[in-house]
Amino acid sequence: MAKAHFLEGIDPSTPLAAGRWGAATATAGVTMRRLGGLSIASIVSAKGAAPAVIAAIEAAHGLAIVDRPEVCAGTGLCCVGTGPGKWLAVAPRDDGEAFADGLAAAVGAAASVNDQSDGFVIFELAGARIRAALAKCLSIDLDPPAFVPGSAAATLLALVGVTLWQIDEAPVYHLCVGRSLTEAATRALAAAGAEYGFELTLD
Amino acid sequence: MSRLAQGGLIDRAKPLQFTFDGKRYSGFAGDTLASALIANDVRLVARSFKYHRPRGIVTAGSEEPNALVELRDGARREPNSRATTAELYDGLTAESQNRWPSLAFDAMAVNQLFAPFFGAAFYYKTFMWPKAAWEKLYEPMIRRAAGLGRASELPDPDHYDKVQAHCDLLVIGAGPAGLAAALTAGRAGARVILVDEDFRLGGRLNTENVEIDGSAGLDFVAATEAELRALPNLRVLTRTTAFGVYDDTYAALERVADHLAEPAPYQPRQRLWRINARRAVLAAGALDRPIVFGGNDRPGVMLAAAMETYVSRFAAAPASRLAVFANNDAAWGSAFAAHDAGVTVSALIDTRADVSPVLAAKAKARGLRVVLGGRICDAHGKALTAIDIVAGGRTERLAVDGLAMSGGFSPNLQLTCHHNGKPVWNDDIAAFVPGTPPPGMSVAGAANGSYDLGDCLREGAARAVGALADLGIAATALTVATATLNGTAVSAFWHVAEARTKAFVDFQNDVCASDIVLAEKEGFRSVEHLKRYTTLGMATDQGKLSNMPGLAIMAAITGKSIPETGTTVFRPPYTPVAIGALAGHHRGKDFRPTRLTPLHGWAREQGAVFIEAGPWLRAQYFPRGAEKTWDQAVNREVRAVREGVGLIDVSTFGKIDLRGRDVGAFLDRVYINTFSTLAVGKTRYGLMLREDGFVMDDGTTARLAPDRWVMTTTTANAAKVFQHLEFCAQVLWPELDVQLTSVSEQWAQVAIAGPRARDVLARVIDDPATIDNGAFPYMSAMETRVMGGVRARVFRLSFAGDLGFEIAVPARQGEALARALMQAGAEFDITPYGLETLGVMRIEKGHVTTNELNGQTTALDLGFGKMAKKGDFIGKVMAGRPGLVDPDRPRLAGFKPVDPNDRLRAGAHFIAVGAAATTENDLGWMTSTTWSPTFGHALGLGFVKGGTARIGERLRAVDPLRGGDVLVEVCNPVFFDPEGVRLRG
Amino acid sequence: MLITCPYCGARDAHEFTYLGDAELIDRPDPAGPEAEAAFHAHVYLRDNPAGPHRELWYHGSGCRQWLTVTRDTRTHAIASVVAAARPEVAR
Ligand SMILES: [Zn+2]
Repeated sequence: MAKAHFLEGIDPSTPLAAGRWGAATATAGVTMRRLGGLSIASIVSAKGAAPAVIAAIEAAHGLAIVDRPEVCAGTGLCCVGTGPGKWLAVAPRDDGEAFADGLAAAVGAAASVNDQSDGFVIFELAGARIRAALAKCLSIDLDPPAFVPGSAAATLLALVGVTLWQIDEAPVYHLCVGRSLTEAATRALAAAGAEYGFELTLD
Repeated sequence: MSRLAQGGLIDRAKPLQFTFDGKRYSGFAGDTLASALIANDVRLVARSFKYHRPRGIVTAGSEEPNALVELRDGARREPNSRATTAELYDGLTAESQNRWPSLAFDAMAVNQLFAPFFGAAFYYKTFMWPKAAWEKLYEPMIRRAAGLGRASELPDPDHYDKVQAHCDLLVIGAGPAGLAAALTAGRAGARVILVDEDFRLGGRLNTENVEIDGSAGLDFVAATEAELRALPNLRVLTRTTAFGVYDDTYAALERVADHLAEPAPYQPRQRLWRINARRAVLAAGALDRPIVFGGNDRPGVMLAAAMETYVSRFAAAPASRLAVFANNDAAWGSAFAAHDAGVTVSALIDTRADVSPVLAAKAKARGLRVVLGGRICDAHGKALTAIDIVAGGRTERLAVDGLAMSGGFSPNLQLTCHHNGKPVWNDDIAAFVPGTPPPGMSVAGAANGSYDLGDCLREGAARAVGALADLGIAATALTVATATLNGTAVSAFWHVAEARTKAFVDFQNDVCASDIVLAEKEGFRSVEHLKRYTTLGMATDQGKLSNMPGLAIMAAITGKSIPETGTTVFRPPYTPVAIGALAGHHRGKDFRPTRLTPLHGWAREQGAVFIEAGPWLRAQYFPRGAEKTWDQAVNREVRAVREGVGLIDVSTFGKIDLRGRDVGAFLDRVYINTFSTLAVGKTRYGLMLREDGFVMDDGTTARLAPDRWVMTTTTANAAKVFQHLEFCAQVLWPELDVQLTSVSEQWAQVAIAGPRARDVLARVIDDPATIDNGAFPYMSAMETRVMGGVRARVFRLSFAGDLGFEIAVPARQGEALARALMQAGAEFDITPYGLETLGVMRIEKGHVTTNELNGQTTALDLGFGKMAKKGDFIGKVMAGRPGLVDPDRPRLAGFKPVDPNDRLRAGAHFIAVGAAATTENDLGWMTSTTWSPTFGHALGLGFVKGGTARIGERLRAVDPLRGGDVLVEVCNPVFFDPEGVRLRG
Repeated sequence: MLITCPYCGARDAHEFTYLGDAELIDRPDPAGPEAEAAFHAHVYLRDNPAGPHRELWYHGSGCRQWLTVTRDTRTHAIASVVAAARPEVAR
C-alpha cells in the first residue's frame, strides 16, 4: 500500500538526504540550500542602549542598522532585527569566535554579544512556489507590502522557532533555525514543498 | 433512464462508470453521485438511523440528511459521505450504509414495528439499568442497530495540508451576491479570496433560468469567472467550505483531490485554510425547507429546489410523474422548470389560498393542475407511489412517483452565529435572518434574506464597497441594470396536522413531529432541551433542514411565536471536517518537532538506544555484546563510571548567558541562595522558586567574568526558566543591568564522571595543569581550550556524584570532543552512558529531579532549607507560610529494602509498621526507585513525614494499586559518597 | 486570535504564552507590613472581569517581549498591546 507521504518512511532522527524529493516537476518549485561558511552572533542591548549599539555598529562596520524587524545588509555584515534592541549579526566568514569578539569590542557595555555560529543554521529558500510552501508552515503574511525584501520576522515555522528574512523580489528568503531543530524544519519544508517538487542542497 | 435528452451542465462526451452497492452504473463528468443515481433511476439509497426506513435523496447539497454513503473502498473508505456533494469520477465505488443484509431488505426495519418504544429519549429511558449491561450489551447492540457507516480501519494513505492565507476581503459563496462582491473588490485592487463549496462558481445561477443585463445567468457566471481568475490579487477556491469563524480567523476546507479516484503523487487530499481576513462578506445563499407531513421521508420526496437542480443542472429527472407541494413562489418556478424540461407535473399544491396572478397565468399557460389552499397529509409506498391531497374538505389520492416539497427558504446564516450572534426572526419571509455577525463580517443576498436576483447582485456589490471603505480602499460597486424578477412571496406553513402516518422533522436522526409533542408533554420545552432530549438537529447535518420545522412545531404546541421559542446555537464546523485535515503534516512521528543533540550522530555510531525526552531524542543506554536487556547495559555502565570513567551527552540542558553589572544582584533575587558573592571561576548549585513558594527548577550558574555568567537549567524547564528570567528582567526589575541570551543551541556539552575522569580530560585539554585538584577544585569553572585550540568551557561538577567534569564546546565540535574523550579514555575503558544510568547514579547520590521537583515541593521539603538567604528572593514570603514550614510535611529521605532481594516501586506510600494501610496513616510516598549495581540492592527516594529524622526507622512501602508491601529502612538520601570524598578527589 | 505586538506586528496567538492578570507586574514589598497577606493576594487573588482585562502575554516565539494586552474577555477584542513595565519605569 502506498505510503501517505515519503517522510513517513524516514525517521525524524535520520537527516533528509540532499537531492530531489516529492513531485517530479521539471524544476523544483521549492529549493532549500544550507549555507555554509557563515559567522553568526546574537546582539542583546542593555536597557535603553539600542541607540548606542546602532551607533557602534555604524562606526565599526559602516552599516546603519535599525531597531525594527528588518535586515540591514552591508558588505561583510548583515544584521537582522529579532526583538527590541536585539539583532542577529551574520557575516560571510568562517571564524565565529573572532567575529563575535570583534562585535563585542565594538559595542562594549552597550550590548551582550554571543557567538552563535554553531547554534544556528541558515538556509536559503527559493523557487517559484516558495511562498505557497511557506504559507503551509508559517502564519505570518508574506505577501507585499506586508513582507518585502529587507523584511524580517522571528516567528514559528511548523512549531519550530525561526528567524526569516527576505533577500529579494524573486522571492528568495533566508531562514535561521536552531541547530537541534534543523531536521524538523527541513522535514516541514519538504512536506510543504513536495507537491511542487522539493530540492535540498547541503553544501 | 431518467437522464433528460438535453440540457444540463454535464459533459455527455465524458461518460464515467461507477458502482453503487456493487451494481455498475454510468454517469457523466459534471455529475454528483446523487445526480448520477437519479439519472439511473436509483431511488432507494439509504436506511434511516433509528427505524431503518428506506430513504432517498432529499437535497442537492451539503445539507443532505439521507443520502449518506460509504465512499471508496479499502483504506480510503469514508463513511457518511454525502452523495449530493461527491463528484462523480470514473471508477467511483459507493455502498449504502446502515442496512443489513441489503438495502432493499433490511432486517432491522422491524424497528419500525417497535416505533412506539423508540420515541424521544428512547435510549435515555430504556438503557438505564442494569449499569453493567451498558458496556457489554446495550452499547454494542445500539451501535450495530443505529450505526452510521463503517470507517476504514487501515491507516489513511493520503496526506493533508494546512495553509495560512491573509486577505482584505473573504467572500464566502460564489452565487450572484458573492460574485458581485468579489468582482467589485477584485477590481478595486483589494486582496480577495472567494470560496465556494461547489465545484462550479455560480450558485443558484447554475440552476435557475434567469437573465442579467440581457444575458443568460450562466454567461454572466462565465464572464465573471474569467475576469476574477485573471486578477492577480484575487484567489478563487472552489470545492472549499468556509466552516468556522474564529477570532480574526476563518477556517475553510478545500477538497483538493476528493473528485479524483486518488490524489496525484504528492498532491494533498484536502487542505485546511486558515484565513486571516480583515473583512468578510457572507453570501452563502439559502436552503429550501421540508414540510412535515405523513411519509414525508419516503424515497421520491425531495426538496423543490433540489428537484429543480437535478432537472436543470444535471439533466436528471427524479420522477416521471411529479407533484409539487409548497407555500411559496419559488417552488412554482421549480415546477415550471420541471415541466419545461419534459417532466410530467401532475399537481401543484400550494397551502396558500391565493397566489400572484403572474404565477397563476404561468401555470395556466403550461396547463398545470393547481390546488390552492391544499395540503398533502400522507405519502405512500416504500418508494413513493401515491399522495393524499387534502383540499376543500376532501381527500384525494393521486398516483405520483415524485414529490417536490418546499416550506420556504432559510438563509444560510450559520457562520454569523459563530461569535454568539443571535439570528432575528423576519415575518415577511418566515425565516431567521442574521443578527449581529462576527466583527468584520457583513451578509449579502439570500443569506441575508434578500431572495430577489437583482437584490442579491446589488447587495453583494454594496457589501464589498462598504467593507473596503472600512479599510480605506475605494471601490466602485458592480452595476446591474436588469435582472430577472421571480416571485419571492411565502406564507409560513410547517406541519400538516391531518397526517395519519409518521411525519418526520429530522430525517437523519429519525425525529418525528410526535416526538416533539412528547418532549413538550414531558417538560422539555426549551429549544436546547428539546434538541438534546429528542436528538433533533444533532446529526451530522446539524439540523440544517430540521431545526426550523422543529422550532415551529414546538412554537405551535406551546402557543408561542417562533422568535419567542428561540433558535438553536450554530457552532463550527458548518460541515464535518476530517481530523487528518486538522493535523496536516503533524502526524505520526511528525506530530511535533523532534530535537536532535549535536552528539546524535556519535551516539548512533556507539549503538545507542534512543528515548524521547520531551521533544528531544536522547541516548537511553548503549547495549554492548551479548547484553539482552536494558538493565544489563545499565548495570555495566554504572559500574564503569563508579570504577573507571564514563561519558554522557548533556547538551540538552538549557544554557543561558547573563551579562551586565547587576547579574549577581539579579541572581540573588531569582535563586533562594546567594550568587553575588560567587567568585569568578566558580560555579554554584541554585534553587529557583515560583512566587508561591514552591520549587520551579534547579541548576548551576558559573561566573566566567565579573559581568559574565552562564546558567544551566534542567532540560525540561529550559524554555520556562528563560521566560521567567525575561519576566524578572523586563518587567519586575528593569532597573537592573542584565542581558539574557539563550546559548543552548551554541554549546555541545559532555559530562565525564568516574575516578579516571581527570586522567581522561588531561589528555584532551590543551593545558592539563589547569585541572589539577588544587588549581581546579570541585565547583570550579573556566574558559579554556581543548583538542588543540578549540574554545571550551569546563565545569567541575557531577550529577552522577563522582569525580566529574562537564565540558562545553561549540556545537559543531561536539562529536569531535566525544571521539577525542573516547580515544583518550580507551585505556580506562571509558564507557558512554545514557539517561537510564544517569537516573540510577543520581538516585545513588540523592540528587533530585523532575520526580521530586513536581511543582508541589518546597526547598524545605527537599532538605535545602538552609540554603535560603536572609534577603528577598522570589517565593521567599510565600515559602514561609505555616503550611509550608509545618514540621509534619513530608521531607526528602532515602529508602532501602530491609530484605535486599526486595524491589521498590515509585508511587508506593509509607505506613508505620503495624498500622493499617489507610489514608489517615499515610506518612508519605516514594518518588524515585532504582536497582543499584553499586550497592547490590534497590534504592529509593521519597518524601516522608519527619524526613531524615527517621533515619534507621523501618516503614512499610505499600502499593495498593499494583500490589506490593515492602519493609523499608529510612536512610540518608545521599547513599553514595555521603561525605563527598569522591566528588572532591 | 491575532495579537499586534508593538515590535513584530500582528501575530497569531499561538506565538504567545499567557501568564495572567497584569497586576502581577506589581510585586509586593517583601519587607512591607502585612507582606504575607500582600503576597497571598498577589499570587492567588484575581478579579475575573466580564469586559476589558489587562493581562500579561509573552511573545516567546517572536521578539521575546513581555506585553500587557488589554483584552475584552467577552469578545476577545484587543484594545491595546504595549511592552509590559511597571508604571514608574514605563519606557
Ligand atoms: Zn513580538
